[in-house]
Amino acid sequence: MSLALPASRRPGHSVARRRDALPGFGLSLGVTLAWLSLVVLVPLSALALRPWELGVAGVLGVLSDPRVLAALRLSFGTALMAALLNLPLGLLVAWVLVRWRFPGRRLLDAMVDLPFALPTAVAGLALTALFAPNGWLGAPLKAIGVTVAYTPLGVFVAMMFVGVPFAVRTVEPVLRDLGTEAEEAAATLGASRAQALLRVVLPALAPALLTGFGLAFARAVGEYGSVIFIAGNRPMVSEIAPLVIVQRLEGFDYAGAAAIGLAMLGMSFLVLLLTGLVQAWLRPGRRA
Amino acid sequence: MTIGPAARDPAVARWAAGTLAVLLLTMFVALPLAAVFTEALRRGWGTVMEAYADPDAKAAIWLTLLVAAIAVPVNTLGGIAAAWCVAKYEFRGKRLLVALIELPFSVSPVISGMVFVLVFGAQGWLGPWLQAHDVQIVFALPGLVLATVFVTFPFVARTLIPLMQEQGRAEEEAAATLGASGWQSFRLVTLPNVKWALLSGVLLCNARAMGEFGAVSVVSGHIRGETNTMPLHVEILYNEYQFAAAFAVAALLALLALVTLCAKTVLERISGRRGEIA
Amino acid sequence: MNDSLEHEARLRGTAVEIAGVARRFGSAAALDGVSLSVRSGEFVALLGPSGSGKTTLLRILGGLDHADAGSVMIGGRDVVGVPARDRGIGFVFQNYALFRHMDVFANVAFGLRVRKRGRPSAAEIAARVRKLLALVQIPELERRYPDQISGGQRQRVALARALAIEPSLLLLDEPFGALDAQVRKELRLWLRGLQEEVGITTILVTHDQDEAMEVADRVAVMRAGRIAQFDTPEVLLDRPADAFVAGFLGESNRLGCEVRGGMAHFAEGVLPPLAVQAPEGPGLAFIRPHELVAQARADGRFSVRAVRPAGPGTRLVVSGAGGSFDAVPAPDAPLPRRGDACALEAVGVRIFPDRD
Repeated sequence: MSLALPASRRPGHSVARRRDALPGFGLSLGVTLAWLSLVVLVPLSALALRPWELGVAGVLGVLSDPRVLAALRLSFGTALMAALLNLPLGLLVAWVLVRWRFPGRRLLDAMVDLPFALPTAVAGLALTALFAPNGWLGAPLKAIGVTVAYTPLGVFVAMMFVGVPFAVRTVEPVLRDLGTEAEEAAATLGASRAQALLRVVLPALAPALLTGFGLAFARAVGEYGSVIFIAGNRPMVSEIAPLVIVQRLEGFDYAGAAAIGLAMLGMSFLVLLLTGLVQAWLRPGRRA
Repeated sequence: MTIGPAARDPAVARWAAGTLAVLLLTMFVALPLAAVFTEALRRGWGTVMEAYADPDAKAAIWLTLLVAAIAVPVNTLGGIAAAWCVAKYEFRGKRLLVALIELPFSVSPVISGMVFVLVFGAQGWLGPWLQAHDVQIVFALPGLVLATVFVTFPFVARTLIPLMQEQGRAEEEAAATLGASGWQSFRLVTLPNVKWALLSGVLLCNARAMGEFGAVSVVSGHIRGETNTMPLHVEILYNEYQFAAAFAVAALLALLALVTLCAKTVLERISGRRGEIA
Repeated sequence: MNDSLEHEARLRGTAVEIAGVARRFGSAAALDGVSLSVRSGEFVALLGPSGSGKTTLLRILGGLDHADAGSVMIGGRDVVGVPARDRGIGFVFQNYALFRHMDVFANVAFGLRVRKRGRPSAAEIAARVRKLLALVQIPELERRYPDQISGGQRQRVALARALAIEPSLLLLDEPFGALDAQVRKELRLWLRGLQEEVGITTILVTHDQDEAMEVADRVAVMRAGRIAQFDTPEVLLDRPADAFVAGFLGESNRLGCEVRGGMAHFAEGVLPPLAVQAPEGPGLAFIRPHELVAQARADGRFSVRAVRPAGPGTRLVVSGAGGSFDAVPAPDAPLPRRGDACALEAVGVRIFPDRD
């Protein structure tokens, strides 16, 4: 970590005592670093180091276990799909919230945050009750031959649920700041409504949409509480990666659990990195 | 926002989109919530009260409150310190620091719990030493607190940093030229300027601390009456097919989420009026 | 300055003495050896383009920033290393930095209430605050919050707040920058009157030369971390110390020339040669519009591009010889019209050696 002190805090010339007009920098940075290191960095370093007790071959062995592979595939594949589908949904809700005034708008606004505020175990329980074969939505779906609960589809539904606030809340402020001027300019220049939306509004929202995608994905891929109730957790079919980690830990296979955890973290960061790269590429003026 | 005709969508499109948005949110958000309360009340109030009177449930509620009572103040102090140094000073590595503060948000709850098992568990780095000295961290209160602090780590800092950055440091500098000490300036100028946002951050932090499941599940050991928090208690009841009781406890947690959301909305309106942009 | 004034100044002494102050931000020098001496009761303006270091200098005086080198004496006291809160200097910030959650009264009272030693009683504080609000002419705004009053009113609150601690020195950082032109003009004259009434030594930072010239006794023109010239407005305009000051203050036409044998020969013979007192060699000539006379002449090599009435006279924009010039018509000739050919003659000029 390279948290160097600012120039003004380094011991300097003897001419002037270099001090900031606002006191408390050293104290606050010290508290922050201590807090960060003790609670986050040191424990996370265990995650980075422990898998290698198994050796590289051992780590690869853990990760190529068919059950682990199936779980990783389910977690990442479903999380990607859920985050992707959350994008249009988030955009739609954000649009409705920003552009229109209608009775019940505040309620709709508050509803968006609920998946974020609701404890995950409660969400899991609720979704299971709702989509169970005898549930409010499960029963009609069953009638048309769709089973959600205890299948990979249930995992997908739960992952969408937790992603909603991220998809909406990242786009909403950008859409609000955007205003309608650019669209109106497009209209005066002869653009149709669809052209204005596709060529003016959507490109302006693209970076925010990507951020929302990244956040919704990161949340969904690691999600545990909301998913395990509805997933059914059948090995090779509807068992998510975090659950495999829990099982390994319960069997005291710390290194194996850490290996799966590290792989998950690495893959998540890869996805976030990719969205970041796409964002940079989308930035005006960067395109050659 | 007043929308001129050029940027106004046709009425049909508005109705269709609006209805779709309401439908989707209802399906995804309102219905699950309604399901919790319906399931909880299916067997009447008596069952609900019975579920709360159960000694294990009481222990779980008490433990949840205790964990939050430790984790929230710790993260509030840490969050204020972090926001102060990030928002008021320029230094190298600041972006990295902010990224690290936000890191716990992008880590799976299960991994958040696991890291403490890797350090303090029976086969953890410090496991043998802890055992020799008869100190229990994992499968005990300290582990629950640590995991909770980890997952709720960014809440306060995240709500404060953008607001304090926007407010800048001119008011604190003005206070200094008027003779205020650092502590006076913090207490009389900085804190009042962010108090509603701070409260909002603390509430969110608290809601997550009380509702956290994945991380505490890993470090708890699920000892009934001892290391089960409310969300874990819900899971146990559910797995034992005590559905009514499970939903009763879940309803309590859902109520907490609803109250938190209402309070947050109110706080945002207050702070918006006072010139705080939360 | 006449003798009696100088005598008075000597009696009142020096309020601020800055010597060799330097400040770097990373690799950029914000201040590069600045020395300045301000007399007691004087109103001084630091004037310069953005990035010239004027605000940095003000912040160092206020204790909000520190100097890497040099000495700063205020009221005969070395203040290097003295924190802002112990300096007792009034500072008015660019955007006022009013405490947004306190009403006007609490803002003004703040400096008195945070005092550790010799804090006045609540009644004394209230009396002082009311007196100050009366002084800045906003007694009726006591219970308003900063976001409920106008920019000009905020400015007055900021001033009252700074004066509440009875500072020995008042520092103002672009105090009128956020106001519209009309309010700005009113407020700066009012500020000057107030400063004379209170008799407090005042240093104001601005990039607006009209503002500096109008309110200040002396103006320090700053450029790239140095003071280019420090003098009264009259001297700055009449006898600029260098090409930068000459070009920065007031309007002028800038021309390359060569001084040979006491005569300035202009590049490409734009103007007839002119007798000057300037060092021999290449030079830069600054000619104010009123010193450049256009004479309508059919064979003139310039043509009139625009004719603009300017108060009692008329201003012309004239082009030709690869340039465009601001000039005035010859006094005793009929007014030229757009498109007329004309010749130019300089009647006054300031020439500085061209170092390039």
